[in-house]
Amino acid sequence: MTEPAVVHGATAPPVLACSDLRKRYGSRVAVDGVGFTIAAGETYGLLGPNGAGKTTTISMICGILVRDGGTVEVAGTPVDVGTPAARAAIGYVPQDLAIYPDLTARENLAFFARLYGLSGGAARARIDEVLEIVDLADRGGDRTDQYSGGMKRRLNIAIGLLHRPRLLVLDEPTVGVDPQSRNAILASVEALGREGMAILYTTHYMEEAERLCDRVGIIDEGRIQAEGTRRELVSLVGQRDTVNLAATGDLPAAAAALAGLDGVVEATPADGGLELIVDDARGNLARFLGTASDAGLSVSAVEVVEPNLEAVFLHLTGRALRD
Amino acid sequence: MKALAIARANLVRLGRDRLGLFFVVLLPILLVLVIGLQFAGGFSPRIGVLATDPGPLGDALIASFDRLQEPWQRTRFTDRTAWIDAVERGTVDAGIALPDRYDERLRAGEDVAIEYLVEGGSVGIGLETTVRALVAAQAAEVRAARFVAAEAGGTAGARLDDVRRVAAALPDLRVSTETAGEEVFPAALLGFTLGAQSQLVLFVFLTSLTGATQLILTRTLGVSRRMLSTPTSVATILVGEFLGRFAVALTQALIIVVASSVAFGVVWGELAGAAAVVVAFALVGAGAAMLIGAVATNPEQAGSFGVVGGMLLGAAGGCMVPSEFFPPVMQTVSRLTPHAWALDGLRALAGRDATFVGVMPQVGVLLAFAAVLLGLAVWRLRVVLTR
Amino acid sequence: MRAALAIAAKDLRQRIRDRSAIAIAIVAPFGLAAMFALLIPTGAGAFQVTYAVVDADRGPLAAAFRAGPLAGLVDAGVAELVELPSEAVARDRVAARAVDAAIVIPAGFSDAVVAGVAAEIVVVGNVDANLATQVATSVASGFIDELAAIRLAVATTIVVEGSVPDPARSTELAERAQRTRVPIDIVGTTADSRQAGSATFYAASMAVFFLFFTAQFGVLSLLGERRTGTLSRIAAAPVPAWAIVLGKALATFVLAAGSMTVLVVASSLLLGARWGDPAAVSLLVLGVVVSAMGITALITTLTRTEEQAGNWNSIAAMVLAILGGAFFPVSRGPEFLQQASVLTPHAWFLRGIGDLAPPDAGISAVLVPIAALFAIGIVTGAVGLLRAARIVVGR
Repeated sequence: MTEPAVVHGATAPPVLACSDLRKRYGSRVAVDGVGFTIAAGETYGLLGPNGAGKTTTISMICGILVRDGGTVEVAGTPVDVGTPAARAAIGYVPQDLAIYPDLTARENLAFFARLYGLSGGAARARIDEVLEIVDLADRGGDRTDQYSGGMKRRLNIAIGLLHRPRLLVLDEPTVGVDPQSRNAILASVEALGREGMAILYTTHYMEEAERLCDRVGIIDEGRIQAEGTRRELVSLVGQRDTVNLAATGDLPAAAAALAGLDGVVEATPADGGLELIVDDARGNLARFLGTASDAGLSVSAVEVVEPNLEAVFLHLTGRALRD
Repeated sequence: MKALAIARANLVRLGRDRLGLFFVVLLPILLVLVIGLQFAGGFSPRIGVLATDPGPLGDALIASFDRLQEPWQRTRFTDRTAWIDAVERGTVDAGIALPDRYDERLRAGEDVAIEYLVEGGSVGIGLETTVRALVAAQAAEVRAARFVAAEAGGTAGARLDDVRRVAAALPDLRVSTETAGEEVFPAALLGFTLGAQSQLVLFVFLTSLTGATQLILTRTLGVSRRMLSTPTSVATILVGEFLGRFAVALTQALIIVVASSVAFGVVWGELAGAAAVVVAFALVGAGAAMLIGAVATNPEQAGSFGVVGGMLLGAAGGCMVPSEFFPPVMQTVSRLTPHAWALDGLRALAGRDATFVGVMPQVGVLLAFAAVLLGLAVWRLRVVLTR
Repeated sequence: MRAALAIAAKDLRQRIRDRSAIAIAIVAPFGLAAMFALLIPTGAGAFQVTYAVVDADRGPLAAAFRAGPLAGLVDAGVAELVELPSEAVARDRVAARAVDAAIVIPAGFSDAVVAGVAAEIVVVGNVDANLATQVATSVASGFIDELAAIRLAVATTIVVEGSVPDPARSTELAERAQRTRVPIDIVGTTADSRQAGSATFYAASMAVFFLFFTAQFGVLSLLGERRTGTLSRIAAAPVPAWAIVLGKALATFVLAAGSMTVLVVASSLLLGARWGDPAAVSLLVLGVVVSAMGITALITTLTRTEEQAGNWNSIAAMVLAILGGAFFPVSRGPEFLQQASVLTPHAWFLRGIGDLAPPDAGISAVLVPIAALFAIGIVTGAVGLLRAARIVVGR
């Protein structure tokens, strides 16, 4: 990759800035004032149930859907349906398997490469690279109708990487994929993020958002209901972390000692150990363990249970995320 | 019972598919209509007459084309370019042009020339003798009238009436024409009937060739998967598909028969005989559908190859041009298609008053076709399905 | 433009891989044209008959008839004559259609004419040989009419003069009447044929019929790519909407014009079709391809799904072909059918190919058909392309 890696939270201008996106179909409002930014090297998750407005938002950002209102800028250039050149900085991976079944993987890649202005030796070299990235190098000459579902998904992503986009837009890239392929896909997305690409990732799978995304926007009924890092979102819910300690010793005494600590809300002896309700378990864990040890406890195992986005979503919308 | 359900599903699918309905029902009837309109006038010659000012003599000459034993179709032109165009493009078989003031000049004793225009090498050259004979008949009257005027005084124009009066009283000096032999196309077949028979045979077979979708899907999806998903045996699926295709073919044939006889007065002949031919041909269609189902790899392929194959077979079988017009070799080849036998039977019923017994040879051949096609299909399916 | 070419190249590659596309574009029209060329004997339009002649009269008038009008038929290359001994034999031959018609001059014919009593020549025609029978009858009538004209002139003169019939006077009048001129002459001219031969006609008509299935592919594949999602992927690339439509149109054009060219060349080489002036044929082919693309693009963009579009296109292809005379000439049909055919590209294309039949016909002979084809194509195509561009951009 040519892009230098960018440290999270740096104040460089965002790769994607969109604001107040609006789209209605007839009387139905699909997207109602959506806006967010994504910095280089940052992975932004758009999390919401089916029909929340994720794909409509993405289509407007990619300049393939006429919008009713709002602005989109990618790498400082406004993007719209009528400005094809601005789309060169975006790599779009649609939710559908947008590949030609009667062409080979290489033919698919070569075709889209030409649409992005790549041809000849440069295109061939880059096609080899992206086939490597998605681990299809040895099957590149096969027609894609002979591919498994997971292989098709990987090729679907590879096409979006061809022209080294500044912004990669992935619309539910793991739908209908076996666990192994899914893991491979998530790993390559992580790698791309580390290399400095800005990534917009939509999903309705909680664990994907939790694993990949630096920041998450929760979208429902065409609006961003909440946005932030996972921790920020969770704090919105007001839920705290739970730390389960498997330990032997004077459990009630230790519980009393821990309960006095800053950040510990509650400490109760449980079967074979202690259960702590705390703020920021990860940041304070060493302190908690030190206090427990001082209180004469012998800790054999630690389990941290953080509240998840599922709970956040349920809290925000009153509905479960899954279909 | 399950086989019947599959058969019924075939019919229901046909009813739901609007394109299917167009090709299965509307198109054949539309073609019957258009072909019928084409040949409603029979095959009589068409003459284009260019005349701006024909007068009574000219009118009499033009009208004489109507009094021929088989009257010609006349088209009148007043524009010379349009008249030449019509001959060149074959809209008329030949053209005649009467000179200006035709009547007036003949009566005044002037000689005139009629232009006869044909496109080279066409049937028009053969028509010339008839035109010459009609003109000669009129010339004879005028010539006699002029002779009388010269011999006995008066004008040629005035003497025409005397000539006609005497001509009516003279003993006949004439040509008598009779016919011999049996007509290839009896009058009952002309008009819409020939077309309706051809389209029925052509389209019942076309529909059969393109409709074996279910069987192809069953085969390509894998029979084991199919049997797991629904507890239906292979034999039941095959019987059901066969019955379904048979039912579709028969329904289509019935619609064409009823619609064409109600709307266009098409004659189908003795009921039992016509039913036997139609049922036998529907069986051939169902057998062909099974064979296609046994060999085609996907429905789209069966669709396009079925259309092409169906049209080629139909043409060879005499559905597009009657096989009577084929060169002798092709007439023999034509006998290898079921179409030719079905048409033969239908024509015998409608045109020669054949009965049920009379069309048994054709029905027998059709049943043999059906048996062979079905046998090939079953043999092929057994190879495929037991692999 | 480069993107349009890339899209066109991709589409062509896909089409060439699809065997049923080739079947529809080339194999089917060629196969049917070949079938028709086989089925319909060449020179079906030529008129050639065989007559039996039975001369039971053996008199001077029979001899004059045979030496004059009958010999004339043979000289004109219209008929072949077979001499037969009796009317009975001749009738059998006619019934079996060994000959098309028999011309029988009965015994005593010459004597009867001279005596002024009733006389006839008998023509026996096969029931299916209408035209041949009519020609035979006409030839005999022409001969009889000459005899009758003189007899009529003489008889009328005598009646008008009110004189008593006198054989000497009659003979004298008859001799003079014979010398009078025939007042109406027939001048035969041969027009140029502007009809294609049957091999050419069927090659052209099948080509234009199946062209409508090939020409719909471009816009149809837009709908298909919209369904599978590849269209939005193409639209997400830095490619303007018009380039996508242009690419699709280009691929369709190459495919349609290419298969038409293959058909023209193959039918010329293998079926003996004679298309005429290559430049004019090229323009007609271009015109009909453009009009087929225009009409199918318009129909396709008026529908929502590929299936609907395919259905309507097939129906339009059939109806236009029937109206346009691609299956059988409309010239025998009623007036309204002939007028309706002016709206179809099929009629204009076939008319153009017919107009190229005279050996010296060039582009100038087919300017009207070419203009009509391009007009149909441009009007329908403009609307179709505008609507197609709206398929590309989501709304």
